[in-house]
Amino acid sequence: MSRPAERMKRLLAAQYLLIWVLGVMAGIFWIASPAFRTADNLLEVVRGSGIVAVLVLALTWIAASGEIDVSFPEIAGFASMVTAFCVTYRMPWAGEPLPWAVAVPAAIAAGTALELVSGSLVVVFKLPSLIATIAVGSMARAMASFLGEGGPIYLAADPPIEALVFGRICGVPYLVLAVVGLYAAFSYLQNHTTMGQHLYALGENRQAALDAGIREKKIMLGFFVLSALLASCGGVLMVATYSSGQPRMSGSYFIDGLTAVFLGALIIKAGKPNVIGTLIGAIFLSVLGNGLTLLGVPFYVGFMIKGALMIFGVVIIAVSIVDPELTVSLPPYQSACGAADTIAHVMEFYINGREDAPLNNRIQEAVILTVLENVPRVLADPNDLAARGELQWASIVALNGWSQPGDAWTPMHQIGHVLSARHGVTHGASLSIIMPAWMRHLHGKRPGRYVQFAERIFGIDTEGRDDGEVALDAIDRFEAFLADIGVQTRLSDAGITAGDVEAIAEDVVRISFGADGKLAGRPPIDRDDLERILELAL
Amino acid sequence: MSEPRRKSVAGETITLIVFFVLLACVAGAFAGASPSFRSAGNVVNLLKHMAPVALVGLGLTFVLAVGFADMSFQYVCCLSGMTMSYLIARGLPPMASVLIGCLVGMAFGAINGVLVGRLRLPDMVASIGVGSIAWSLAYLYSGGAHIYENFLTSGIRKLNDSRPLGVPLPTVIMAVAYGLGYLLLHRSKWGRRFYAIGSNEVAARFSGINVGRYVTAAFVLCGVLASLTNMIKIAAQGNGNVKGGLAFLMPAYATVFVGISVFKKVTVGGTFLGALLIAVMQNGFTSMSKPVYYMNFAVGLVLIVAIVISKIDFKEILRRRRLRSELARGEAAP
Repeated sequence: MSRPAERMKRLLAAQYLLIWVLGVMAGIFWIASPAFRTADNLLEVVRGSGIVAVLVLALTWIAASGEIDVSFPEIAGFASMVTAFCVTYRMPWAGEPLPWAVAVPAAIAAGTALELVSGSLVVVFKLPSLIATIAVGSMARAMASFLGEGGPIYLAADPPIEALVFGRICGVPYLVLAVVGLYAAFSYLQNHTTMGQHLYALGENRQAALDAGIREKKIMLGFFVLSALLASCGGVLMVATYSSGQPRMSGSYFIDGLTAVFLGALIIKAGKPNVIGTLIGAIFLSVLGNGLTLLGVPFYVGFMIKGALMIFGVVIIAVSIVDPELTVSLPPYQSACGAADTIAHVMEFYINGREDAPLNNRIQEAVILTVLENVPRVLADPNDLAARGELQWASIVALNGWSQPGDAWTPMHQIGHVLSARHGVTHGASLSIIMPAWMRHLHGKRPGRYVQFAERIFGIDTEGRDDGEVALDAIDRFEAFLADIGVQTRLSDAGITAGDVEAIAEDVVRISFGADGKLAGRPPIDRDDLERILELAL
Repeated sequence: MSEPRRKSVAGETITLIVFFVLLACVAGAFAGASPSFRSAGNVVNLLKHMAPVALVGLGLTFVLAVGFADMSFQYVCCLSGMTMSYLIARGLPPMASVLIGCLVGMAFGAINGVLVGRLRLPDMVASIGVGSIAWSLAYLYSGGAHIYENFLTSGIRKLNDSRPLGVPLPTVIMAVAYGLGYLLLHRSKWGRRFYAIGSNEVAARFSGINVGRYVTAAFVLCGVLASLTNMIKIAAQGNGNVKGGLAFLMPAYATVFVGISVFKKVTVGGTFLGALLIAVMQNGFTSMSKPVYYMNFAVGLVLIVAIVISKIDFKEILRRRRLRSELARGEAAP
């Protein structure tokens, strides 16, 4: 395929869909409404996205790390009320309201303090973040109502801070500059620091992240505080925008904020909330709201469109697209590791699964043979789509459970995972290292399996030969195949030495061994077996 | 085998005592502050006003039992309430209007269930999306205006006002719903399946449970009960409005989580206790003529306190204290 076409195709991929929808939608509004395309209105659209963008910037990270904060609109409302209250209410000790320079920091501090409560509840008391933030949000809203005795607080004059929202420098609103600066900084932190790595690790697999020593509590508490800090700033911006404190802003900001984050998750990182995605999500919602209003469409239609987009978005993420073309650009090593993993997923059940499952075995053999046949073709010609398609199809059959009814446990994987966690070995390679050693150590326990493997996979003649000899012959050929396609088959290939065996075994025992001191399987193995397997793999 | 069981029962007793002490403190404070709170008639009143929060909490109990969160019921029940109000205004009999309202709740619950249970979409995102759509549909009937035509004449107010055998109808509905909910979740094989899915979805699937069906059932129950709750509220207020149901979100989660703090897991009985605690506060602040945000503050606070208390391991503390006093007396073995 030619390069421009390839590039075009990549731009049309699912992770850029929302940008296209945004472009088409803006185009329609541009054509349909003369009011939409005026410079003032376009500026208004950008400004409108500003407050939501500030509100949910840190929420993006909270959501990416697998938690949720639903209190941000309430915190913002609370901060707006504190600000309005401080600058209108005559303080008993001074006889006059507080100056803005005190009121704004006070409001931000008060809002942030509240989330310190919910953050602590989550990290110290292990409350689900949903319920902790619902509770604190409810209290924030109540306190905001209390300050205004149930209603908003209107300012007598336009606030001096309105310049934050309406002021411009060289035609660009301050708010826009601030938002761009904030998002650039957050985007850098997310993509170029270990903190950014950790937050996605927490979202992917909490337990693994903890085992790897990520300081979960510190990070999460920091996120919650940051979220409240930004939500409070959003509240101050509301005062600047509406010249009043509003205790009950939650309705629309709640849906808009969460929609911006989760719709934005569709972009760039295909399903994971990310900073740039959130910004585009916020702009998207602002364009949608503004355009619909100018076209005279009732505002509630907007909720319908947002809801539908959100569901459509998560459906796209949840559906996996299997297209051999998408794997063409993979480095050969990754393709080979994928193949090794495909084989490993059926080998687990072929040699560790239940007896008397002839159909299972034949499906497993079909997968292995297909991989053996097609990996060399793919490595020889990366653009061989037919061979890549076969490999993908084999991996689907291997991993979706069809070949293993009655079996689920994968003991070899338990060792492989520790190799990946401790030494950064690629998943497929870790299995490629463990499989031959495991088979060499255990073939005597279930000789029938291995003889069948030798006969059916490698066509080895078993007439008159000893079972063990046949098995070892097959295992040698299997290992030679794995080495040929360029995947490591020895611990030493991955820089692991005899000195590491003890610690690896320790971790496998701690994580995967049952109360009986064994790694479940057929047959179950104990620690001595485990260390023997690791030594065989050196 | 019997050892851990005995331990959990003892833990439950302690948290139950703590809960009732907390309840007594709250009730005592109101009784001291407001004469009308301690009148005998107020108990009946309390049980009547408890019904809405208890019903919406009951539905959510099932969703949390299967291990998911529903962020749509507060929007869905706005739609069911507006649907019912619209049908009343168009002259449909109350019974039919309420049933159709329930069907709307059922339909949106089913959509949630299919998206989350069968298509395996993330629960919170999917349900917020569904809720957003439901809420926008609620605006279609009147563009957001209140609906109150025929409310006085159609008899819909009986949903809140009538008293079969002297007991307010909402209380009767609550009692029946809790009876059935208890039987379903705690006394039937289906109930064990809800819990099985909640504690380990993969294991549940491998033991032959149709996970999608049970998750859908949970969301349907949540949608229907929230809808019924909002319709009772609308019948009491005498008009349908598009935002009335939104206020249920916080109390509903509060009931279930207060329940979890007492029994350490999602239970129908626990949700009932949670609803009781919240109803006492609601009723207390109302009898003192305080605005609703007092209640919201108190519910948030009590919720946090209840859960934090439940995280404290009382047995462990007692054990340590005993150990310490024994050490002080110099009789303890090392």
